[in-house]
Amino acid sequence: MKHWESRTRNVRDAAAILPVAAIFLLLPPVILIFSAPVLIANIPLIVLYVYGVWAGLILIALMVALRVEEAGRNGKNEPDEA
Amino acid sequence: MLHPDLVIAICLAYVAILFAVAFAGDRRARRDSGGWLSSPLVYTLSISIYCSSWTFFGAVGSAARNGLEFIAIYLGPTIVFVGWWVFLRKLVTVGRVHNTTSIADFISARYGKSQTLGAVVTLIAVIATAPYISLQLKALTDSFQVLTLPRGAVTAASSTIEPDYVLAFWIAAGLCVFSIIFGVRNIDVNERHHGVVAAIAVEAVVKLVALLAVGLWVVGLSDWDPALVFAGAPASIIDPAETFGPRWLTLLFLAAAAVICLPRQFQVTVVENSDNRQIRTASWLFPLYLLLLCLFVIPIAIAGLERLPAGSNPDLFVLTLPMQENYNTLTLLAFLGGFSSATSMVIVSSIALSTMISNHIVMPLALRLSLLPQAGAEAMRHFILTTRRCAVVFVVLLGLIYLRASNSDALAAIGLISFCGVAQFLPSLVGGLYWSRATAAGALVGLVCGLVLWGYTLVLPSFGGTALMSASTIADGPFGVLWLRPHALFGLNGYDPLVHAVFWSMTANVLLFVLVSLAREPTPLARFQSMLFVDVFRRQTETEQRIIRRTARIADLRQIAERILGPAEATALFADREVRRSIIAGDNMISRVEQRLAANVGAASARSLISRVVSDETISVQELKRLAGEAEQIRAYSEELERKSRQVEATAAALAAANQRLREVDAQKDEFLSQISHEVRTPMTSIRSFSDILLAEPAMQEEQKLRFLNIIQNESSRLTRLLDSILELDLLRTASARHAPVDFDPEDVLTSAMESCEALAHTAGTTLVRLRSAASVTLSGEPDKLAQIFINLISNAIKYNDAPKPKVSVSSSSSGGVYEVRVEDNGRGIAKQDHERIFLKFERGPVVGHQGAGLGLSISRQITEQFGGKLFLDESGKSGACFILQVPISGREG
Amino acid sequence: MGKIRILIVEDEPNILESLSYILRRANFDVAIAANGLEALERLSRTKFSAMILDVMMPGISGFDVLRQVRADRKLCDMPVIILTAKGQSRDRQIAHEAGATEFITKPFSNADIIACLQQVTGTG
Repeated sequence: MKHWESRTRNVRDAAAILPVAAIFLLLPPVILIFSAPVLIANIPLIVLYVYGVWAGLILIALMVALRVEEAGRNGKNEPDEA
Repeated sequence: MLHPDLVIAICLAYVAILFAVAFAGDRRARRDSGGWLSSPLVYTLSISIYCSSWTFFGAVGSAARNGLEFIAIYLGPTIVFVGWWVFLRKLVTVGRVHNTTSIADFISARYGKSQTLGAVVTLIAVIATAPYISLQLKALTDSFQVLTLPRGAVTAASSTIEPDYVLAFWIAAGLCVFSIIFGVRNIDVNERHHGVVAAIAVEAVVKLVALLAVGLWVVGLSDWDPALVFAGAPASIIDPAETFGPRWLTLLFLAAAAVICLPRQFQVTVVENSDNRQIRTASWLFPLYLLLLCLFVIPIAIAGLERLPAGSNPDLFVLTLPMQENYNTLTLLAFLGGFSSATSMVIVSSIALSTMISNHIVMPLALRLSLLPQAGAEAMRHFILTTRRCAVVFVVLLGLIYLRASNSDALAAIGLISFCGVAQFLPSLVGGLYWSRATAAGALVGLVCGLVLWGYTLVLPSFGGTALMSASTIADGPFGVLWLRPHALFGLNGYDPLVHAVFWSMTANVLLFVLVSLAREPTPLARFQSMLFVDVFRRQTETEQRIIRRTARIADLRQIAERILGPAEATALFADREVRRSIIAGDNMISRVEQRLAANVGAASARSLISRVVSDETISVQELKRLAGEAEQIRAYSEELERKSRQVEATAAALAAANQRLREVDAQKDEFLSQISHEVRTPMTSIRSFSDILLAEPAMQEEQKLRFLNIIQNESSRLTRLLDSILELDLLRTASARHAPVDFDPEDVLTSAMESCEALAHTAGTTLVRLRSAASVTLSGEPDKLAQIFINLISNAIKYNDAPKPKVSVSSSSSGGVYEVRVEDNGRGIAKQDHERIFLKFERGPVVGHQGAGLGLSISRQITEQFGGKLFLDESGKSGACFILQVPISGREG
Repeated sequence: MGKIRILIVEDEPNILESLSYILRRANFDVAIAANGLEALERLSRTKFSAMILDVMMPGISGFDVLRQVRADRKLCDMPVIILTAKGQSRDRQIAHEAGATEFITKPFSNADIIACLQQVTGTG
């Protein structure tokens, strides 16, 4: 039970941190690091970076959503607001 | 080129399919509300109306012009959706729990169901959406024109096209018809439109498939080699450092705000939401949709720049690229994709705005001006639906007018102008969900100032030097006042106009919202609503009725319900057996009716309708105390607490006052009982004492014995009279408990009182005459009580009249707002010093003849005082006693 | 030994009559007062062994008379029997606080009154 609860909290924390991480990665100064005129596999670095971050966010969001659903199935309601 | 007839035929066929889908969706939803229509997938697809033709055509255009900047428009919503746990979840839950019908309804409901706020939000939404709709109309006409231009794709792409307004008009008309048929057919609590949602889900798939197809084809042209794909990339993509300045941040912010605040987004995300499962899936699926849609934007833009002649309109690359290569099927698919994105946006926007206009502008006005049809529910329903249909036409027409009025160059920036406009809702929305201290005044002032600054710094200059704002004003400020230049307000120079406008309007909005909220105490209703919204996860089960105690007459409630909802629905609402039996509706019933009405006329109007019949609205102290207590435990916001406890104190003071009154009444009751006890015991004492004496002394002198027996007899009859009076009093009191005050004519009461005393007068040999009668007047109260006074006065006058030829005369008159009755006898009268004494409770004056009447007169006087009147003896010193009753007239004379 | 002098204060004439009759029969010397003012006047002129005092009277109430009596150094030891038709416990309490010696509820039995009087005057 304890294990389950701590996992719920982890999901909750991940869900709350996700948008903050997104903002951090997509705003200057971080994004400026990747806006150098460099090509990787003939694709501009910045294009790879932006789409990569984007895809990463979607992947984590998908995982969070699945975890939340799982938590809901485990008998309890959606874990409530922290 | 494609033949116009063919394109039209294909469009019509496509629309016919959409009709079929919408129709099937509606039917399906009626049969089974939990079916695939409310599946997370359909929900997510409907949210994708965020991608209008501005995305479909414009993303490529923007990429061709400004490089990566366009991605911000899709990253903003991505952040909001992957961060659903933080904000979106709460917003959607509140919206669903409170049956929100639009963003205006949401904000108005949060801030104490403020009508003004609802109207202002609606106004801003309409102003911000009209240009956006005109953008869609332009995209539709442009794409149609390009597609059917006889000169061929290459020339079509490079030439400036004169917009065909006739075509735009017919497109607009078609969109209106669709919106009206599927969007404005029924009025329901939650304003969900399954048919429309189904249709736009199909459109979402079509536009994604179309753009992906074009994208794949373009990449295919470069043999799938990244080197070739990015070979002709403009500098803005290869070396994008310039892109990530203040404008990037601004675009991210605006897009994040817009995906919540755009009326159409609010409609599909919050209003159409039916459970949390949907938002959970949308949290990743919608960003994924956006990502897929944007995947080939850059390659298409690069290909367009490379392959099409210089000067081609990049906004039409998606269409002109396959056209130039003579891929007709792909061209048609691209056209249908653009068609889908534009139509779905216009349809949902017009539906959302029509609900807002009808609920927050037309209904409140109609209510205030009493313009609502009185003919019945069908008329009412018809009125609401007609209002909404007209609103749909109005909104689309406004877009058409904007299209005609603005110069077409300005259209490119229009999407962002709209975004900035609707972003003004954000402070009220976020503040409303997280900050319980936020008030309606704060939201209103913030919104209005944001609106004004947005208009001044962004909308008016966007017309580019027209009558609305001259070119010189834009360059040098109004009347040459430099620091008022719309693009450099207060000397804030050197920023992009959009960044500048967003900065000023949002700063003013947030600042004023916070400051004004802090400056004024919210009303109890607003405070309560704020608790419901802010603490939605803790209080999903809380409903308004638990705190606010209201009562209203069922008949009144029902009348309103029938007028707005129709007899069938009203009957269903009031079908409860308990409800049918009672006369007064409680909190539950009232809230139920209000909620149901809110669906038709908006929360604020529903509240104002209901408040007309609610007789008693109090906030329960206990509930507030409980809430305050809970808040104390859960949160340590000391200020919050202090505020609440002040409120509780104030209410507790009211309670203490009520208790005090109760105690006084109780003391009065004790006093009264003790009086009665005294009054009964006094004769009993004499009787007991003298009988003791008589028993103890059988040998007492005859004379003495007789005297004592006499006293015993007198006291016994005094006791009997007293008991009679008490019984009379009791009857009176039970009577008073049964009846509610009514309006009545006291003349009728007087006449019947005299009739009931007729027999008594006859027995006593007294002549009872009616002298003067008053004109008909109206009093408010209980006629039976007044009759009691009349009978008491008349019967006293008969009983205690010791004249040889006893006569009692009754007269009545009304003048100066006072109704007066005189009961006069020709007996010996009452001595002046006893005039007041006889009205005292149980006072036994030395007046022979009037002894024992004490209780009756004192009651009569009490009742008279309840009527707000006076009962006294005439002082003019005529021979007999003359009792005068004066009561103020409540109604008009006549 | 002279007769014991009793003051009866009572506004109800019939009760006054019956009381004075039975007290005289029981060999008391009876003086009467029909209201509080009259009672205080009599008390200031004559010394009484005890007083029977009605509560509800026009003008000064019995309790007020009692309080004045207790406040008077010369009279404070005089036994006072409170006579009332109101018989509620609250009245009994007020009477006690005001310094009543005995409390009798109307209607009373003649024998009780006499017994009570004899007890408080120490003549039983």
